[in-house]
Amino acid sequence: MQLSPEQQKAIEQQKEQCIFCQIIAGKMETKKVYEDKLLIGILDINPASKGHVLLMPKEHYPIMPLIPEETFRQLVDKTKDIDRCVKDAMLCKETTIFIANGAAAGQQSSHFMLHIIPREKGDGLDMLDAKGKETSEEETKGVMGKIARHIKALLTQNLASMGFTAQQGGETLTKEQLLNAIDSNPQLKEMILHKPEEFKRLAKQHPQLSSLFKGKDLDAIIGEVKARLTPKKPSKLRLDKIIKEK
Amino acid sequence: MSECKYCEIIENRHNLLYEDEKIIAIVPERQATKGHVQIISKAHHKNVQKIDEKELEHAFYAASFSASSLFETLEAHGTNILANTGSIIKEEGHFHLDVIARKSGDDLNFIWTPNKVPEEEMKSVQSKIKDKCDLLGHEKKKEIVDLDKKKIEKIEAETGKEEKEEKQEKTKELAEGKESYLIRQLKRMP
Repeated sequence: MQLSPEQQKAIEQQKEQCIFCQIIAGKMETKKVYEDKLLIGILDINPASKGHVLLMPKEHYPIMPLIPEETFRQLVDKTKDIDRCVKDAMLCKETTIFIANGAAAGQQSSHFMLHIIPREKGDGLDMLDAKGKETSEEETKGVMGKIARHIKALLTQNLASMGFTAQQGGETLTKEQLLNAIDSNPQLKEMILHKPEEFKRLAKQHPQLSSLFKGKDLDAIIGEVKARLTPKKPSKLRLDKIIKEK
Repeated sequence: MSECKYCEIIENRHNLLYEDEKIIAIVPERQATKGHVQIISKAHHKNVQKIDEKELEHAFYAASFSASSLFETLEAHGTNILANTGSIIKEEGHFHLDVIARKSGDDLNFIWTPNKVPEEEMKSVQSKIKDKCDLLGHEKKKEIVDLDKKKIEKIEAETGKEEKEEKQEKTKELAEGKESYLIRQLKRMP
């Protein structure tokens, strides 16, 4: 995810007013249940149920896609461990793991966190089961049409480059696959075409981009992406020439 | 035909968006809203605790990337990621995550009414959970120590065996040595 300087500044401002950053800095009281180098787990003071734990990175990330790899993996690993602790302590057999990215999704604080919510029958939290309603084939086809190509490309490239799948598993992607990935991401394509220097900088720093472009000749890629667009111009010129000549 | 509902879903690959060795991503038949993707773990686990960490990270990363994708393609205002663990998994046998695209004013509401829990109870809950969490580091250390202990015991057992054998041999040698010395003495006597 690309962050403009304005967005970076906005995050810095968020941090200053963030209750959880204050809690993590020890400036506010909290009921801590877990802590390590990267994460902290505390009880929610307005719990959905008794034993409701908030697990969050100590560093301030507004949403999940901004969390760097080491922290993300630690978060997932510890979710499994702490989930078991909550079940043992609260003598419950079921929990819901809940994440909200964005206010429209119910994110109540700008500091990213994951909720571990103990569940039992009749707890009034059925909406968290996301049971859904019956949807017509037509509607589903409509949605699939909009999302299928993009999501397949994104998952294929990203999971492979992170070593989760055997296909590439951290080994280099073919040039064609990389160019397809760029094609499926309009924002990335725009940046390569119009802000190549910024792209080069981000390709080294940004967690997802750096794994995607590991060991690649970035100038060559920029050249390729530009070259893919230019063929249209010459053919138009040729047509013009032909018409003039005629 | 499989008895497991999710094994069937995985086999059918209906509304498939993505597949690899460990997971599939589909649009489920029942959708919470326009833009609902389900990440389903292929492995048939009755207990979420049996899922290994790499598999869990794989599923969560798939969910995170799916959320980013929905955000872009459907111009969503936000996304939710939800997973049920425990008895539901036990019945259905497959860990799965729901990724849901959200728009302001849509007809979904995940905001719960906070439960007001008295301070004393909160303290008690905190201490119970914290006690369990404190053991986490120790459990991992204990595992390592136990493994080391087993290694040491094995080595000792083998060394002990060797030593015993050596001792037996030495005693035998000594005994033989003594005899030969006596015999030698005897031989020297006129």
